Amino acid sequence: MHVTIESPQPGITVLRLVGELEMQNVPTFRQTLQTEVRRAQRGLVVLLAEVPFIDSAGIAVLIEGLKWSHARSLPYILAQLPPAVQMVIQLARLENFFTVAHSLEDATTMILGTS
Amino acid sequence: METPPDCLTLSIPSNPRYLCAVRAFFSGFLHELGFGSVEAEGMILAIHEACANAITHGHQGNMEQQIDLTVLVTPTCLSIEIQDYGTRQDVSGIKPRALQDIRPGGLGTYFMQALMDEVTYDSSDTGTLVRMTKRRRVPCTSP
Repeated sequence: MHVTIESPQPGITVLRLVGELEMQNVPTFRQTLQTEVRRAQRGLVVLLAEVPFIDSAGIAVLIEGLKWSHARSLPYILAQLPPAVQMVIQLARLENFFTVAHSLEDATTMILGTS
Repeated sequence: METPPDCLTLSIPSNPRYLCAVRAFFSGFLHELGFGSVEAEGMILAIHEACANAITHGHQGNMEQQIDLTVLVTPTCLSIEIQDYGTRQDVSGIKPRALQDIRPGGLGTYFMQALMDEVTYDSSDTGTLVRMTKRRRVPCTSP
């Protein structure tokens, strides 16, 4: 799994994940996520379109990211959820816990609307 | 006379890097047995979580141990046994956490129970055996 970090708008950080988000690579992603939550100014978007598999460790780090963001009052949005990730989030009954956007554009609009 | 189950075995080192091999194995195999893609994805997650628990809790992160998977196929169901050789666990304490308690961790056993028809645990001084069973929606005349 690898992560690219983008900034489509000033202050908005986008983490684009490619690959499986599971116990093998969660520790590395956790560090990246923590750093970027600290660094982001207006909001953070996690793009999951290219994540074909997520496990409980992957869900756990996404929950941590939300909690770190809440502590900073930073908007935190999961976007472009593929069916496999949607299934796991629904199974964990977290669909109303996370803010979810269909596209990066929607996520950016949501963040700009809150700031 | 009842047909004996078909039996497959798979052994992996207790290293998270090999979990992708387990998932790849079951991905093809479950489709071959007639499970639909959504059901198969759920079963693969449950098997992955059981192996992850064997690494984390059974072998306590020691990546030089072994995990054995035994798959039993009958005309009506599929059973997967995951055996680690780690420390004895208090299986009475293994339970999914309440979902309203939103925090990182504790979801793996919940996923296993939600996605399989039956999950049992047996732990001794020689390790822990997790047995998960899933009924086949379209029973076959042979395994």
